[in-house]
Amino acid sequence: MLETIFSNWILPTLRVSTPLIFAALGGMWCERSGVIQIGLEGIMLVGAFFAAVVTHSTQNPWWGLVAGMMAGLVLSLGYGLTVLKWRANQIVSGTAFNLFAMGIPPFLSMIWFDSTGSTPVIPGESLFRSAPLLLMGSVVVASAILYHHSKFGLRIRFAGEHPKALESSGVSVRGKRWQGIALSGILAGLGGATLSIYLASSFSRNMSSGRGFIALAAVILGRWMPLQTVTACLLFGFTELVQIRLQGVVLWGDRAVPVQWIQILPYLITILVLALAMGRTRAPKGLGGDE
Amino acid sequence: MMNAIEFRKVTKRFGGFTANRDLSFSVKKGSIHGLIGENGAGKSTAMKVLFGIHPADSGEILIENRPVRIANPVHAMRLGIGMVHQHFMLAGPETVLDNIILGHEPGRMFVGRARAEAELTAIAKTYGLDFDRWDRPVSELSVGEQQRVEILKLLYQKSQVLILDEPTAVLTPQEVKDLFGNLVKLKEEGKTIILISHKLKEVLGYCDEITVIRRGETVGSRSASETDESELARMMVGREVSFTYQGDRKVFANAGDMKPVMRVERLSIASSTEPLRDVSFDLKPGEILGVAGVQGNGQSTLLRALSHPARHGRSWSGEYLLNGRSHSDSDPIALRNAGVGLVPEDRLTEGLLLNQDMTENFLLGQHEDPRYSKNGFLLRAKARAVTESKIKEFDIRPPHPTVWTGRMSGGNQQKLVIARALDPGPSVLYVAHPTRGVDVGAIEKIHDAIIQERNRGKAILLFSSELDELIDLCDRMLVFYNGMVRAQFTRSEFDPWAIGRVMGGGDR
Amino acid sequence: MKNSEKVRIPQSVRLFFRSLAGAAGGLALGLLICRVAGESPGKVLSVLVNSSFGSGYDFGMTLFYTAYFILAGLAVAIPFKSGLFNIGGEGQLTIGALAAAWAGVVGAGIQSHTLAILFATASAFVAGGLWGAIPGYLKARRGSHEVITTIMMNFIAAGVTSYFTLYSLKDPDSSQAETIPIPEAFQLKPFALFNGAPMGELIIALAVMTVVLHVIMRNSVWGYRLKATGENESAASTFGIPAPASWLSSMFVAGGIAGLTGLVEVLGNSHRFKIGFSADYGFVGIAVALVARGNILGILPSAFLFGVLQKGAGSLDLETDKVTRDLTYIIQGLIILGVASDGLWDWFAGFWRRRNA
Repeated sequence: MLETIFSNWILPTLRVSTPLIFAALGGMWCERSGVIQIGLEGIMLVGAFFAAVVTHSTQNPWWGLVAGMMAGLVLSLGYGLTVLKWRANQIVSGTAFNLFAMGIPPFLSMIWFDSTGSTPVIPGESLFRSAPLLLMGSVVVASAILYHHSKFGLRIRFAGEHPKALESSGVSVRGKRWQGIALSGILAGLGGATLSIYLASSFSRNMSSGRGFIALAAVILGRWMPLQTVTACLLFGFTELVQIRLQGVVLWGDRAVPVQWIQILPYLITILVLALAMGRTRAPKGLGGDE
Repeated sequence: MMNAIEFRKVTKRFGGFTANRDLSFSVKKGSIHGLIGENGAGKSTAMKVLFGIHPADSGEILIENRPVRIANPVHAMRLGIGMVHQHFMLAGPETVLDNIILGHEPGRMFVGRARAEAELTAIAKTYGLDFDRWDRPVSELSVGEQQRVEILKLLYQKSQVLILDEPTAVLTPQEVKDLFGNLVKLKEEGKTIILISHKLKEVLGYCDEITVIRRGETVGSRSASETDESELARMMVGREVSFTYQGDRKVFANAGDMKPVMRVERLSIASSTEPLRDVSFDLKPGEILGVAGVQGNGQSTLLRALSHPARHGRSWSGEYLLNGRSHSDSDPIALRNAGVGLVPEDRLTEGLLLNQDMTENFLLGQHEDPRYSKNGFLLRAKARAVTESKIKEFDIRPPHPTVWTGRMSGGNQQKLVIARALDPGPSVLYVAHPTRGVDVGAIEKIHDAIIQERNRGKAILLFSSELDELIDLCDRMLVFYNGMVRAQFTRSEFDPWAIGRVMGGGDR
Repeated sequence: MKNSEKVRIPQSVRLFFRSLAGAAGGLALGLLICRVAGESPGKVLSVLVNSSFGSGYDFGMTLFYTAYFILAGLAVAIPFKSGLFNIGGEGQLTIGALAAAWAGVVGAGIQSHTLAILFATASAFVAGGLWGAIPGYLKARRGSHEVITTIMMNFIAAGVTSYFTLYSLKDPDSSQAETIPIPEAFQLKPFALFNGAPMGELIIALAVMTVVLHVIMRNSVWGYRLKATGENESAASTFGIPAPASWLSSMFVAGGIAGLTGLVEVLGNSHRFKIGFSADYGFVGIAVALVARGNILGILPSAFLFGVLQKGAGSLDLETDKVTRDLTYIIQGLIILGVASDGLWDWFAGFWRRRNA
C-alpha cells in the first residue's frame, strides 16, 4: 500500500516538480537580490534545448546538464547587462528575453537538424534515471542553509530588502544582484535541462509551456523563502501529475473528461492559489528598484 | 587637544551648483560638535563628502591631523568614520543582530551569529547602551530603539567618529534626553560625535562646539558656552529671525461658543500595525487643533480614516460628522464636496505625481470638479490658467506650470499641495507635516498660510511630529498614545515637558 | 541650470528618435545573427522588404498584419498607463476570435451587413474584455501579479477555445480543427487594389479609432484616472482615484481591443475560427507598445514596422535555406531591448567620448 503510493504518486510528483523546483529556487535567489525575474520561462526553454542537443551529440546526459546550465547562465547575464548596466525596466527586458528565447531553438534546430524547433530523440540508455532527483534534493538543502545561515544569504537578502543599508555596510549591491541573476540563470537552465533529458527524451517546440511563470508563482506563494517555495512547487507538480493521470479517465457518465479541461488544470490552479494567497505574501521591499 | 576631523577649504559642486564652497572647520577629538544650518545650507553635503559618498572637488580633509582622500563609504568606515542617516538604514523584517553585523559578519562562510552576539553584548555594556533583544525583527522596535541599533552598528564597526544626521527629528523630548545621555557616555569613552541639526536648543544644550553653515560656506564656529540662540539664528539665516510665529494671530472672540463643523465620536479602526481606539473630539471654525504623538501611535491611522473613510470598510466603527452629516463611508471626492481640504502626510508618496507637471498635479482630486471637467473631459486650459495664478499667489518656483513636480524643491512642492487643498475653498483642513523637509523661507510662508486660513474661520486639524511647530501654531492639542487620545491641552497649558511625558505614555 | 544655454529638443521628439534608433539597432543585430545560419543579412533584409512591398497583394497583407498589431499594441499600451503589464493579449484575442465566430454561427439569420458587423464586434469586444477583466479583478481585489495571471489566462484560453471549437462549433464538413464558417453578411470586403489580400476599410477604421483613443487617453477624466494610478497609486487613491477601478476598467478595455484582433482575423481573413491561427500576435503587441513607448499615436508607425517584419518573415521559409519565420521572435526581442535599454545611450555616449578624447 505505502509502497504503491510512493511509486505511483510521491515519486512521480517529485519527478514532475524537479524542473519547477530548480527554476523557482533560481527565481527566489534573483528576486531576493532585488531583481524581478520574468525571464525564467525563456531561460528554461533555452536550457532544455541545449541540454537535449548536447546530450544527443555526446550521448552523456551530464554534459547535457552542464550545457543547459551554461546556456541559462549566458542568457541571464545578458539580462543582467540590460537591467543592471543599461537600466532597462526589469519586466520589459525579461519579456524581451522570453521572446528572444522562443526564437533560439527553432533558429538553431533548423541549422543543425533541419527541423523547426525539435531535436532528435535521445536513446534511453543515454538518459537520466534518478540522478536529477538527488541533485534537486541537494540544491534544496544547500539553498535553505545558504539562505538562513551564510553570509551570502544574509547579504543577498539585504540587497533586495534594503539595498542602501547593504551599500552603506561596504558591500556592493550590484555585485550581489549579479550573483542572484547568475544563480537564476544556472538553476533555471538546469530546470530546463531536466525537462528535456529527464522528463522527456528530446526537446520539443515551446516545451517549457508556462513552467517558468508557474515557478514564479511558486516563489510568490512561498514568500521568497526556500522551503516554502519548494513546497509550492510540489503543489504545482502534483497538479500537473493529476492532469497527466486524468487524461482519458471517465469520471461521470460514459464520456471521458475532455482533454482540454484537464490540460488547463495546472494554469487554473496556479491562478486560484495565487489569488487565495493574498495578504500572506510580502515581496522584498527593494524588488525591481534601483541600487 | 587633537582634531579628529578638519575641513580645509573643501568645495563640492554638482553641475553648476556649488553645495560647499571653501568649507573650513575642525572637530576636536572626544567632543560633541554641532553642525547647524538651514535646509539646503550644505551641512548634509559636507557630511557626505566626509563619509565618502560624494568625494570633494577641491580642498583637504584631515583625520587626526593627517590629510586623507576619502574615496567611498567603505574607505570612510575603515578610517573610523560612521554615520547614522536620517532615514535609518535598517531592514524591518530582519533581526536586530543581522542588521548590525551586516557586512562585518565574524564568520568566513557562515554568519557566525553566536560570536557576534557575545561581542555585541560586551559593547552594549561598555557604552551603557541598554539593549539585549538581538533576535527580534527591527520592525518591532520603537523609533528610539531603532536609533540605538544604528548607533550599536557604528560601535560594532569600531567607528571613532559618529555622524548623526538630524537624530532628534522623530523622538519625544524624553527620548531625546536619553539619546543625549548616551552620546555623552560615548564621548566619555573617547568617541567623537558630529551632530547635524537645525534645532538650536538641543545643539546649545549638549554640544561642546558649534559650526554654522550658510549657503555652502562656513559662517563661523562658536564654543557652546560663549554663544546663544539668537546669535546662532542670526548666523544661520543672515538676518534677525524669530523661531516662533510672529504674525497676526487674531483670537476668535467667541470661538468657544461656536458650533463644531467636524466631530468624531468613538472612532475605532482595527489595524494590526497602528490601530485607533475609541477616539472622540470635535473641531470648531477658527481653531487649529494639533495632533501630537510619537510616530505610530494612531495619528497616521486617524488621518487616513478622516481623509478616506470608505477604504476602511469593516475595520471602521464609530461616527464621523461634517456639518452634522455622517461621512463614515465617504470617499475623498465626497469629502471634498463636503468642504474638506487635504495636505497628506508624505507629499512624495501620497500627494504628487512626480513625473507630471504642475497642472496635472493641480488637477489631482479636482479632476471631477465642474470647474475643471465637463462631460467626462478635462478643461486643461482652465486648470492651467488657475495653476498659473496659484504659482503667483504662493510664490512657487520655478514659476512655470509645465515643470515636473519631481524636479521642484520640497518647499515648492509643498506650496503646490497646499494651494491645491485650498483651491475649492474648504471649510475644514487636514494638514499633515506641512513643513517636513522644507527650507526656512518656505516654512514661514506655509505657517503664514495656515494661520491666515484659521483667521478666516477655517477649522484646521494639524498633524506634526515637530512639537515646536504644534506649540507655535495650535489653539488646542490632542496627544495620542497607543491609539487613544491620552490627554488634551489648551494653548495656555502648552508645556513641552508635560506634552512629551504624555507622548511617552506618562501622565500630565 | 547647466543646460539652459543649449537648444532643448522636446522630450517626445528625443524619445521618438531613440525608439527609432533602438529598433533599427535591434533589427540590425537580428539580421547579423543570420550569418550564423550561413545567410547574408543583406539577402534576408531584401527578402523582408520585397515580401512586404513587392506587390499590391504583398502590401495589402502587410497592412493586414499592421491591423492586427495596432489592436494588439493598444491592448498593451492602455493598461500600461494604469501601471499594468498586460501580456495576456494572446488569450484575449483568441477568446475574441472565438466570440466573433460564435456570433457568425448564432447570428446566421442576420441579413444586414452593418448589424452583423456590430453584433460580431460587440461579441468579440465583450468576450475579450471579460477575459482581460479577470486578471484586472484579481490584481485589484486579490493583489495577484498580472504578469503571471495574464500568462496563465493565455494557456486557459487556448484550452477553452479548442474545446468549443471541437465540441460545440465544429464544422462537420471540415477535417481541420475549425468552426462553422460565418455567413456572408459578416464578412469584411477587401479593397480590389490589394489583389485579394484581406484588407479593406478596416485599416482606415483602425487608424481613426487609434486617434480617437489617443484623444480619450489624453483628455478624458478616465484617461487622467488611469494615468494617476499608473504614476502613483497611493497618491491617486488618497485623492479619490481608487486603483482597482483603474485596473479593472483598463484591463476590460484592453481585453476588448485585443478581442477585436480576433474579430479582424475571423471577419476579415479566414471567416471562421481556426485553432492556432495566431502566430503569437498578442506577444508582438508587447513589442509594438514598447517601441511606441506607450504613446497611443506611436502605435501606428510601430505596428506598421512589425507588420512589415511579420509579412516579410513569412517568406523566409521559402526563400532562404536555413532561416525561418521564427527569426521574428529573435528580432522582436532584440528590438525591445534596444528600445528599453535607456542606459545604453549613456554607454554609447561615454564610449564615443573616450574614443574621441
